[in-house]
Amino acid sequence: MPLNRNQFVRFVNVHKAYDVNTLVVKDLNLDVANGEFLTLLGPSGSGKTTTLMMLAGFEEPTSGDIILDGRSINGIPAYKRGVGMVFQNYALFPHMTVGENLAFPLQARGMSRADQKTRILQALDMVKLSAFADRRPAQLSGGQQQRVALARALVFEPSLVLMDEPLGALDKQLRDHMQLEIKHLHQRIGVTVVYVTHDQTEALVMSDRVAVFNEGRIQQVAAPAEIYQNPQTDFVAQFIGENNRLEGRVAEISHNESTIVLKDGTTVRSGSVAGTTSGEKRILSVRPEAILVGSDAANLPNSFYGNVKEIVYLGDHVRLIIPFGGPEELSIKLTHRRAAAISVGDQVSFGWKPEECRALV
Amino acid sequence: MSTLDIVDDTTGVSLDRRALRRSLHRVGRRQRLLSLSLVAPLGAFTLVFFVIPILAFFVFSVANTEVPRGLPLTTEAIKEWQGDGLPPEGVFEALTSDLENAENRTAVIGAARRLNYDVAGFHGLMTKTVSGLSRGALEAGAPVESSPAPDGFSIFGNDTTPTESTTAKPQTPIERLTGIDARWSQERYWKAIERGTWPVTPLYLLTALDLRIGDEGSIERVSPDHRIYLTLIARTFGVSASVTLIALILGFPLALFIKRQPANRASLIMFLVLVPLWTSILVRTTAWLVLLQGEGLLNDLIVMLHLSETRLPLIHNRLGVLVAMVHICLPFMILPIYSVMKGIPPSYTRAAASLGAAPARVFFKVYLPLVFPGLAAGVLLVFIMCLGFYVTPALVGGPRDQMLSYFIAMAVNRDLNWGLASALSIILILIVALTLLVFKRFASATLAR
Ligand SMILES: Nc1ncnc2c1ncn2[C@@H]1O[C@H](COP(=O)(O)OP(=O)(O)O)[C@@H](O)[C@H]1O
Ligand SMILES: [Mg+2]
Repeated sequence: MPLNRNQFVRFVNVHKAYDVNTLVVKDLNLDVANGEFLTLLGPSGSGKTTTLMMLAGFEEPTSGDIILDGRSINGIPAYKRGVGMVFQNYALFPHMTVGENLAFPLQARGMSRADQKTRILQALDMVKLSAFADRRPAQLSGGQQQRVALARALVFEPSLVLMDEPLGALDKQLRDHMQLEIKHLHQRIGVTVVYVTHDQTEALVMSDRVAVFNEGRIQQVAAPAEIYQNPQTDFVAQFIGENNRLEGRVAEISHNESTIVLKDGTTVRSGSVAGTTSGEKRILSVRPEAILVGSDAANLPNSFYGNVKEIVYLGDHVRLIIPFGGPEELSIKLTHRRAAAISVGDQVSFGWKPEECRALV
Repeated sequence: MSTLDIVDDTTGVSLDRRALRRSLHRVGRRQRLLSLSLVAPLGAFTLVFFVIPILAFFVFSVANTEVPRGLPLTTEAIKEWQGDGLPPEGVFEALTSDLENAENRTAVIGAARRLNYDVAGFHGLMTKTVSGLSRGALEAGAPVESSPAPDGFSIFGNDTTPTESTTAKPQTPIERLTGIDARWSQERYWKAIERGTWPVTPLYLLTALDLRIGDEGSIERVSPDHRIYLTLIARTFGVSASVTLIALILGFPLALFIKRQPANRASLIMFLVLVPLWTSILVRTTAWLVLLQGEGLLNDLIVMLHLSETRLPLIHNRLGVLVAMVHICLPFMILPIYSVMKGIPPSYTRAAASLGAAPARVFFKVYLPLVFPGLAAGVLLVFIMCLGFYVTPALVGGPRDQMLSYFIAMAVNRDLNWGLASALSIILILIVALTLLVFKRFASATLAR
């Protein structure tokens, strides 16, 4: 048992460079709690895989420490770390059956044949593939292979499991299904999971906490709801969910609100601005669903008029596109019922509460 | 729905279906014809330069036409002979007529050569008999200066010492022939002629396996000092296997090494591996000759460094053959292994390590089985290539290092013995086929494990 449940895995000032020109991971400080499902989320090339590989033992940090269960694991080879891993291409051994794949980690640990058998059956049962022990990986569908990979990473009961975009190769429907299945599995067995994805929905659905990466740096680490509703940087706001960006300058600051002047002179009241000074350039972030239209908007502190430029049909809802704040446009999410009376060219009233928008760096 | 309707319906449907099937067939046939026409040149090439020659080998290796062509009367007459004792007089007479027929001389030479393959010394016997018969004829007719061997035999005639014909001309054909050479009274020579009249002959295939048909008609091993081909086959197999093994031992680590280099250095090394293929095998072999011979560079170096007092025999022996052949074969070992290695994503070995397997276990349980198809391809390629090696052993090997191909070439070029050449070729083909078969078994067994 770790001394501190919240510090099961620790990255302490970790840097990583593959060559002298670029730091792929910069000053990484991150704690993962025991039993937590933590997702590293970020665009491709942001250093997520590199971070995971350092934890698994396939890459060494250029500087800094990685601590697992209170012990520094720098320099300990991967096979001695006891960390389970699921790869994007599953990496199931094609020359072994499903059962042999699952037996592999148990044989490496010198487990008796009888114990192996019960463990394998348990693990296959867990992923609902009990009938497939004698199949070869090539005879399984993508989703089944995925589950075998999962079972193989869990069969030796590691305390930490790493997954690098494990659902990347599946189609959308199966992916949605597997997201929940993995989440439930995690809840049931309570293993610590560090999960890598570039899919924000996946991160929001599955995680206890999300660490958003950009260019090798962590932008924000928080629970999914916090990340979505209260992004700390423009990058996080932009990367997760849909977002309206409006550039402007800080004009006035009161104790928990500030006034931002947009490029065309429109003033907008915005909430929660940390350490802002007057005259500073900021980017306003408003979610499309936070903007109200029509009579709802009339009495809000931020209330404006504009002409509808376009109505985009999106199945379960529509988007109004309205030019606003100079060169920019607002995208507003509306239900069909509310959009029924509106057509292109109409002038509409719209607005949002100050706490629904943030002025970010 | 009335019965009439159903009938109308079904006929309507079946008509449509038939039309559909016809048009589908038409479209399918056009596509099949198109794809066939694409491979037609290759098909023709394969037929003319591969299938037909191999079939020809099979035919040549059992063909038995020389004796019926050279000795037509004898062939007919010897059918009467039961094979016990000497043949009846008619056979002697037929042979006499056949040998006296000057118009058929070339075919007679062919028959003599063929019979000599069966019983050593038969060629000399025939030469002597032909000249003996013609001398007899000359003595009977106008006395002319004694001529040496008759036309066509002179090039072979090594034992054509004409016998002194002191006695008067014998009357019966038996007396004439046995008078020229007493060997005509031995059964085995007649049996050889009889075997020469069979529709097909096992002679060449037996010879290629150091076997012969003995005087009693049973198959027996040839005398120990004539046994060469089994040793030769074993040697061909052994040299090929050694070269393959050495190439594997050298090539596998190199492929592994190249695989672990950064991409641009890997392609540079691969380029260096493949450069030797730009020059001909002959040039590369000659280069080894220059390096390894007694007055060669390597020996110069050895003597200069005082590693040895005398110059070492590095060439014209097995060592030279192995060195040169491994050098030539190495790219063909490395290439398939490397390309298979390149196709294996690092995630397999990483997955194995993450599952707790130490490096040795990762290598033997995961990496090696994954590279196996490349190893198998390399081993097969090199082994089969080695079986057919000719120039290299001929140049850098000693007399005891020559392989099957050398003897095939010799049978064709020097001895004009197409039958033996074909039989040896068939043995080579059989070794290759057997190797493929064993490999297929082995490979599927390994993969199924
Ligand atoms: N083995 C490597 N050698 C050199 N550069 C690498 C290597 N692996 C990754 N990189 C570089 O590091 C950066 C981060 O890569 P990675 O960690 O794979 O990002 P992500 O998983 O977030 O897409 C990328 O720019 C990538 O090109
Ligand atoms: Mg990645």
